[in-house]
Amino acid sequence: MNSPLQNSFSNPSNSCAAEETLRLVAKLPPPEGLVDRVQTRLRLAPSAARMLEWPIPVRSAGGWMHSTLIRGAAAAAIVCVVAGGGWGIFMRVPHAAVPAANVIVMPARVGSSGGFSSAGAMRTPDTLKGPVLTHNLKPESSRQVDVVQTGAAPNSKAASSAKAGKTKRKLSPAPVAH
Amino acid sequence: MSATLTVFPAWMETAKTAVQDDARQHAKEQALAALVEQYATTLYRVAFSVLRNASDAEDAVQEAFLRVLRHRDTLEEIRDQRVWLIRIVWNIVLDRKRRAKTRPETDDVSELARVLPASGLSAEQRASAAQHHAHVLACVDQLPAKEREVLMLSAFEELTSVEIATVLGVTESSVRSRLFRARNLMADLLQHPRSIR
Repeated sequence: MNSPLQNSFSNPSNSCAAEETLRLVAKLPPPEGLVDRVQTRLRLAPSAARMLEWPIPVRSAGGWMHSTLIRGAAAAAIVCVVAGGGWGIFMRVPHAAVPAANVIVMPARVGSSGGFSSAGAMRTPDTLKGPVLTHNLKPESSRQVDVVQTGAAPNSKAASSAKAGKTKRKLSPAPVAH
Repeated sequence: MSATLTVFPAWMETAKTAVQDDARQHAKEQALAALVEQYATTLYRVAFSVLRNASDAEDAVQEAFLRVLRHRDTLEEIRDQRVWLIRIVWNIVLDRKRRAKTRPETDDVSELARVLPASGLSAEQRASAAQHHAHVLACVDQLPAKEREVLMLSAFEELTSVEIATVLGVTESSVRSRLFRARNLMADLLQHPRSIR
């Protein structure tokens, strides 16, 4: 006659047999002294960080604003901050006699061209072209007199060209612009 | 004078607070010791069912309680401390199992099958039972992880499906469906070994 366990072996498709094995594993007894070892380990473990308690109670019955000590400490802190700030500013300010007027020394100018020399080159300004007259300013009669007296054409250019060509032409009166 | 009158009651109150803190600390330590006393065995079994090694399982239990020690201030807020502790140790053993994945498990299986209780059996039957247990454990190792975890936890008779769902962080219906699938797969594996992989 087979035991129930043996019967389960005969039917391998029965998954209950597998669960039976797992149940046996789950029911295995723990080793001796497990609890004691765990307790010892916990006792030896470093305790968690503890917050240092302030010796004077910060909280009072009516809230921290009603505590005399806290209010006094806050007032003292404010006074310390104000005094410290004033002292710091006082220590930073120079106490030596300040001259009446500070003369600002300007640096010497190297050149107007931004430090580059002109290498001795002299700049010649462009000659301006004068206005070209398109009409005579004088009357016709006086102009003729002038031509006779001087013997030169009013237009120097025409005269020179006449000289060059050695042609004696009769000067015609200049056109009068109206 | 008034300052003295102010400071003296303050010091008295401080002393009272210190005494209360000590008492609270002592109570917490007592609560933790009671937890160890009550659940160390259960946690060891859970750890052993996964790790299949006595010293590793004990290390896992100690690590679990060290984690509890770090969170002892919140112990009172835990509703179901048993399930909470099982979940802690479950995560620890799964982590350890993942790290030691390279280690061959065949020796563990055969060793475990040998130590399983087989009282009332003859030597031949005992040998046959050990062989069967080794075969079953090897098949369990072949199951997919989700199904294997549910099957292992369901072997603990004290855990309901709701508690298993809490430990695994899934819904109860998921636990039921995974358990159904695991049983079917196990039946297939026991009939046709290595049919899954």
